[in-house]
Amino acid sequence: MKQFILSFILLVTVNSGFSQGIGNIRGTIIDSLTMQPIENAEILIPKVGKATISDANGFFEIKNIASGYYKVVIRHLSYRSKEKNVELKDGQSLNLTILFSQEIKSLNEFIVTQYSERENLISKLPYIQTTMVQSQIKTSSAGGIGDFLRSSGNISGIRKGGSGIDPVVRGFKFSQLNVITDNGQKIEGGCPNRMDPAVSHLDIEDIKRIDIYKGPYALRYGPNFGGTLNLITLSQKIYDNFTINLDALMGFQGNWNGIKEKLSVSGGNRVFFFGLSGNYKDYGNYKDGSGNEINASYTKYNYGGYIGMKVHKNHTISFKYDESKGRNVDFPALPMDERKDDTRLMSLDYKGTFDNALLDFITFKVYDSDVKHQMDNKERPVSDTVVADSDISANNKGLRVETGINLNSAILYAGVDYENITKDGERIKSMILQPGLPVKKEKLWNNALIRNTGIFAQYSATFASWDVVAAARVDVNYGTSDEIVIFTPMQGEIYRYSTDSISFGFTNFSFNAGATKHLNEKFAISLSVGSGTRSPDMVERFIILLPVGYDKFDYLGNPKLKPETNNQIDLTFKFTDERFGLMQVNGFYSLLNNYITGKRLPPSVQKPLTKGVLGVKQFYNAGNARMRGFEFVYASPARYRLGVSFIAALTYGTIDNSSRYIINDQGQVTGDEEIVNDALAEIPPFEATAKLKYQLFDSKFVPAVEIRMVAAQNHISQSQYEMASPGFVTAKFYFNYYFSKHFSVTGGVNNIFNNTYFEHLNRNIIGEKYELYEPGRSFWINLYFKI
Amino acid sequence: MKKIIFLLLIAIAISSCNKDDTEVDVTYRVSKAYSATSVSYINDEGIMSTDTVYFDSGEDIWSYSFNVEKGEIVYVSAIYADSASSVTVEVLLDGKIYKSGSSNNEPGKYVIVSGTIPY
Repeated sequence: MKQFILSFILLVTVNSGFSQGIGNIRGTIIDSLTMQPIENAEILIPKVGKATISDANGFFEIKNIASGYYKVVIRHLSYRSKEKNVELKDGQSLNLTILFSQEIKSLNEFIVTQYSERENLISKLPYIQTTMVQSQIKTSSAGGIGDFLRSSGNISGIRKGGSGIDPVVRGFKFSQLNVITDNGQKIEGGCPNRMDPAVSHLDIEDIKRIDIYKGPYALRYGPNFGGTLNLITLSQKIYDNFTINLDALMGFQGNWNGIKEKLSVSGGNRVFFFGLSGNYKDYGNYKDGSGNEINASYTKYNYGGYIGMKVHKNHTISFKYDESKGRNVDFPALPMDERKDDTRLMSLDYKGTFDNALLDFITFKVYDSDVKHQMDNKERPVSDTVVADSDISANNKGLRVETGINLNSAILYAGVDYENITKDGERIKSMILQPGLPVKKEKLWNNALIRNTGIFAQYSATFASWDVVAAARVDVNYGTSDEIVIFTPMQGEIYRYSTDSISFGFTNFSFNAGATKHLNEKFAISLSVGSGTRSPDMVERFIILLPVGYDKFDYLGNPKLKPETNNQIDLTFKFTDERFGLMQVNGFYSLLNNYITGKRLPPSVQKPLTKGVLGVKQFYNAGNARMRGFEFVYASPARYRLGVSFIAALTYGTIDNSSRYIINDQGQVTGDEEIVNDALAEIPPFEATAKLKYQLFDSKFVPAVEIRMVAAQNHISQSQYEMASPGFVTAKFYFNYYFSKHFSVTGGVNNIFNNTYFEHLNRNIIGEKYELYEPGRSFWINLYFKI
Repeated sequence: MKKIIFLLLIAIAISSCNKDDTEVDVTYRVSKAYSATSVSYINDEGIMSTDTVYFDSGEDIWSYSFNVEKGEIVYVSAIYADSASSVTVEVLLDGKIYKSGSSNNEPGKYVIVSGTIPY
């Protein structure tokens, strides 16, 4: 460990002291037909994160860039985006003349962002980072963020109902992923069974883009073990003149008989800006490919807004508020349904940029995420005897301060973050078939608290043909809860944890370093090595006998759990060519130390509370587990009307040592046996997606076909009696039609051939032996209005 | 002006899609009893009440009605001491029988009809 830290420090020191040439990239943006300069074109160099806007003469200049190979991206809302690969030599002031094509001057925002979509397939960092943009959201019928993320390569989701799909990135899930909003706000869901993961508390229509960082590398945004999802909501804009915009959406999805609506107003001037928006979704049950109805209906709506002010040149302060509501959200694969969810998100942000040679920017964010979550089993057969109502409050409040410091051609990001998570709630059981209707109250959480304070730094530099990124963070984590005691009428006290024995704290170190070597203008190779540590979450520490796992066991928290560490290496090859397209191949290997999973407790130690489960498991550190896999991405050249892309991904996970419970013919657990190199449960199988798009009528109409092939998953966990799943192929068609700047339409057909299939990660329907099938054929249409 | 009209149209369209039909008429009915019967039920305030009802003949009916939201628990039970008596207990939702139970010549046995109002 010490050697690694030393190496890391040396790497940063060596890089910052590296003597390298500095140059400038400047040029002029010109309309190819009129030969007039184009103002307000955006010119960016993704590799160094620098951008500028062309002036009235079409002129732009980006200074102080280290010599090396760069892709310069030029964008303008009315023109087709352009990329240019350049080599900047030592001390050079590279002069570019960029001609924007006139032929599709009426290019719509969909098309502009489609080019972003294509560019985003290739990671600009030494590890895998992809971005999903708004045009992908608009041409998707997904009802939620988790559902939408499943359309990205090597991102899967655990479906338990019609909504609230929980994202899984390369097999990493739950608290192994760091999910944040707008660069730092965190949300703690209320449900122990994760019917309301963080992504479920935001409406997909409010999302501008999603940055996905795979692996334990993005340490700027919080403790990171397996990946980071940064959900960026619709942006706050400064306008030259007072402006008001109105956006509306009306959508319909067949099969579900679902409607979605959105109305937003935004505007402002040079000094202040504001926005108000609301979304409403009402989806019914859906039918699978065989016509079986799945109880997956839900109603969700939210409203909120933001207001901000440019208090001084380059200094902005803004306040954001959002309330979201979930009502009668069905989860057929869980013991309960969400009856009511009231979530309130607030944040106050400051951003200042400086014309200072040293200081680049400062950001400050303070936030409060408050979730009130109610669920019950009233639509389950067991409610004929026992009605269970749960009411949980979960709160996450915190802050984040970050500064960017210019170091020659490098930038150093440094900052602190803090989060305070509290959770409290109980379950009320009404024995409705007993005289007098006796009521029993059980604590699900008893004023549980987790506090995390982190300090982080990330160093990004470019010199010659090398890009280097190195990062480190230290987290001080503390968790506690009020005393936990469980009584049952028949057995008396069956579980007790006092406050003294329940409080634990950790200091965690995470660090990584990576580099990209540009072999020439077309080829690059990247290597990243990192170690990310996360502390156990609320469920793993404090859950009190609830069936929260994949298997049929009551789970018991373990306050004495140690943090879990992911030591990962990523190797990536990148190829970019204007004639042949883009290609990226990545392989990764993860060694997971102190892997957290469940271990069966004998009935003499602990008996379950939930009827029908096989026994009790307690979270423990199981030693080492391993993940490995690859990703492949190809996208055809941008210059053709026909666009082809292909994404494939596989993850393979094993645990060195685990134990399997033995079940006799009567279905009782009689003992355990050790297993070596068992498969990790809930790892997505190999999948590949091919996409074809064609641009018609000056790119105003773009139809697309997508074929997704998923292999059978036969590498399954024996210790958790995981079931194998068959492979399947699905196809979908979708289009977007840009009628005018005021009106556009997207629509399509999902599951064209009405196949009956389920994803490997879908949970089983409660009380049934079959899986939760995906929707059958479904037509959908969205109408977008803009004024 | 056009913008305002357009905005209003969209607002009307959105508001017209909301619905609110969450309440249900609940009636508890106890009948076919021939002697004093203790009836316990959750009332309109969600509190357990107990009445002793003196039935003179099998024609007598005791009932209690109220409105409640879907998803709430409804509960009514009856018990009698006379070995020659009987009882039928019913819960009606919007006038239709939702659940029922009965006993005949079984003194000291609770007849419990309970459940949650379906969504």
